[in-house]
Amino acid sequence: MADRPDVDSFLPLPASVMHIVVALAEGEKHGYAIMRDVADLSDGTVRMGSGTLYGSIKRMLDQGLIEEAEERPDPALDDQRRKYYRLTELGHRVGAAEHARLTALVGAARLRRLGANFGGAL
Amino acid sequence: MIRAAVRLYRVVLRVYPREFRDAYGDAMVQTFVDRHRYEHASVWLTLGREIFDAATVAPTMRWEQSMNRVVGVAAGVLAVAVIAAVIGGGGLMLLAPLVAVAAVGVIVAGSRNRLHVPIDQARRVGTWAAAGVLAIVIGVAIPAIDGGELNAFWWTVMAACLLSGIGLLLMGLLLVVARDTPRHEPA
Repeated sequence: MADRPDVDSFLPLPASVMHIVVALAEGEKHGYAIMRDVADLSDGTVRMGSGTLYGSIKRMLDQGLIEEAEERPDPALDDQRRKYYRLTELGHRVGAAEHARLTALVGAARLRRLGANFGGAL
Repeated sequence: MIRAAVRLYRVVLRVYPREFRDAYGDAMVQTFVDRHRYEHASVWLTLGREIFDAATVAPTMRWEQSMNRVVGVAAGVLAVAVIAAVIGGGGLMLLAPLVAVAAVGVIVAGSRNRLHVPIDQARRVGTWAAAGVLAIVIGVAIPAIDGGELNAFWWTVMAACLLSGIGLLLMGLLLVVARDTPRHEPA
């Protein structure tokens, strides 16, 4: 039997990692594109510095959640220092599992009308 | 102005561990340049943010790196202790402090969750702790079995039981600690 990593062992994903997973869900991106996407996805509330970003990327590479893309969209137009990353199959599965976990959590919060008595949006 | 800022940023990058810098330094510089180019923010403001980010992230990375070294040293010390115990009874005098140093190193590393133990492995190896307790109990009971007069053979058996018991117990403790802390947290 193939030794497949247990997806549940990655959960819960740190917020910064989940943001990167979501940013890469639509395709491969380089560091700055990930940074911008994370800021956009969070309405500007999550702004990663380069150290935080590449620290997360290094950890995710070590865990096999992402991989470096060898082909560049257009090498002639692109700076060679840019590295492109994409989700691995494991990264997709872990992202989906975290998505399900967060959806269930939000559903539970909604059912319990969390914050409703304090002007919350639920 | 951007060139001066990039030069300064390269200096800032030196606070990161060398391995990390070698792997991602150029990409980080490119990201820095991209931020200035596309966000139209002041290059010095961008640099200030990066310095703040480095000040919060780099110490954690260096701590993590030093903890990995501690685990390595602790494993080496434990190995020396085992060899000393096997070679002769006199080696046992060295055992307690050496094992204590190894234990502290491994437990500190584990409590900082630097070994990233997968949860399924944590559960499986957690049972080793029970085996460790059993081995220690046997080791402690050996003097009673042998009537209190221990020859070299029984010393060796007792030392082996105690050492393996301590090792298994430490592994179990480490994994329990690792299991209850958030995992996979990036620096």
